[in-house]
Amino acid sequence: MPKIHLYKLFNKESYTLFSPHHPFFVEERMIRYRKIYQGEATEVILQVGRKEEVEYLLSLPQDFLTVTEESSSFLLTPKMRSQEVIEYCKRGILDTLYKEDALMINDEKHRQTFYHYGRFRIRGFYGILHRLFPIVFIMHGIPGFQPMTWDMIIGDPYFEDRTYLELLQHYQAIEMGLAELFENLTFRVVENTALRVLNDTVQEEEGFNKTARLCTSLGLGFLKDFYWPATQATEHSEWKRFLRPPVPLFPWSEPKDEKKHSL
Amino acid sequence: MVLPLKIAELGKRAPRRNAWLLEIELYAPNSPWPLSEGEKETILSVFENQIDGFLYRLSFYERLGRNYRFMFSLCLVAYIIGLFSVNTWWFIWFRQPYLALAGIDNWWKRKKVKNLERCRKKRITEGQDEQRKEAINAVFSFYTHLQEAERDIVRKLIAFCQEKERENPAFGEIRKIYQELSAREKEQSFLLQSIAHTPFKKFLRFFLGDILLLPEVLIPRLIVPVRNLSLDCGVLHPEVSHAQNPSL
Repeated sequence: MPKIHLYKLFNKESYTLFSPHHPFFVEERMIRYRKIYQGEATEVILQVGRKEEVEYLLSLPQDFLTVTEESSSFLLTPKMRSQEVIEYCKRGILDTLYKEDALMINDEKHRQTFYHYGRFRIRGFYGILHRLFPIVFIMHGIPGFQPMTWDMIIGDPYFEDRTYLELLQHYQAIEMGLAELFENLTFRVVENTALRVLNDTVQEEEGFNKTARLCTSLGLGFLKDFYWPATQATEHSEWKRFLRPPVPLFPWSEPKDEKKHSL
Repeated sequence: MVLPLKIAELGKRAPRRNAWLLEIELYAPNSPWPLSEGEKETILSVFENQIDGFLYRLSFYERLGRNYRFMFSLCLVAYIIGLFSVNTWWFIWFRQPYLALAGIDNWWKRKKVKNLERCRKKRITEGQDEQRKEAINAVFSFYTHLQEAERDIVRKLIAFCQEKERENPAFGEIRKIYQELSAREKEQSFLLQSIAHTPFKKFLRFFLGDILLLPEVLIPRLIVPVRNLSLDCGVLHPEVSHAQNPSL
């Protein structure tokens, strides 16, 4: 069952949803979309620190979503005819996950097919037929070379084309899976103790520093990249000791006469 | 956290049914802050990613490998015709004989884990076996007392498990897991293994790169980092004294 994990993290002033994935290894996402293409339902799992944060979900209108409360989680199922919910999800995710994934899958497709594209193309001046046909005549006196030559002229381009087509079909399936991402969807909210600790810690003094260090020992090491840049940019950290006031080459005095200065 | 079965063993134990459910039993030591449902889901998803990634790479390269091997079949026809038509037939082996073996190692790996592809759903539950629970609690308390020494922890844990193995076979399972962990510590990272960074590997890749055609799919060890259960999540005052995270 393909899954999308969303983590509800505290960032600066309010909460934000974060979906951990590797910035340039797209394989994990391709697996997800291929599974969706094969007909499996997508499961979105929202991880929250405390269950109370999302209790308002129970009061949502029942004609859009069915909310079932389990031991420590909510299970949300959009109704089959609630196109609004699906559209809402799609719009929300279009600019974040969808566009990035579509771009990366397309890029990966071209990377993989580049080597095979027209490698032994049959037609054209530089085609295999035109390049190799002379050796049919050159090898005329050596009959043992004839079958090998025909294999090179007919066999190689045929199998190379098959390789190319297989690759194209593979990536086409993944792209179609991406398009069907929200066709069959379940949504689940689960409670995460480690996340609660992170969300509490980040609101303390020097919170981002502490949280970035805590992530690994809390088993959420993949969230460190989320906190670490924020630490560098906004908080007092150990790197701040390199930021010292400039040392003047010669002493100067501030202009005391403000009137003169303003003129 | 480690899945006690290697991925090949997991494939061997998988049923041949078309759609089946993989249920992972989780054994964690007793602690004031047990693993919550979200954390279990995270653990499951990491295992899932490791297994599915392996299967995906195998099936992807198998599509190409199968085609290359099939390509050799036409060569073979040519060879047989050449064999009957001329006396000096040996030169035909100059033509791509390696295609017969392209991706054969991946095919062999895939054969062993192919049943896992038909798994439709994976689930994680609490394990109920008393012996295992007892063993993991004993190992955890041993570990918490070890922390002051901070040297050769894994080796000491293996020795501890070996001592208790006769009384309780669950200790044997834990010992195998620690051996797996120490083996993983010694070997190079997954990324480094796949890159030709040593002179020998560079040499091989340069001369055999065209011949091998398909990259080797590396077998993952099913290991997931989890929360340190000895941390107290109620009152947490983390150390700020490191210049950087020690894990870096």
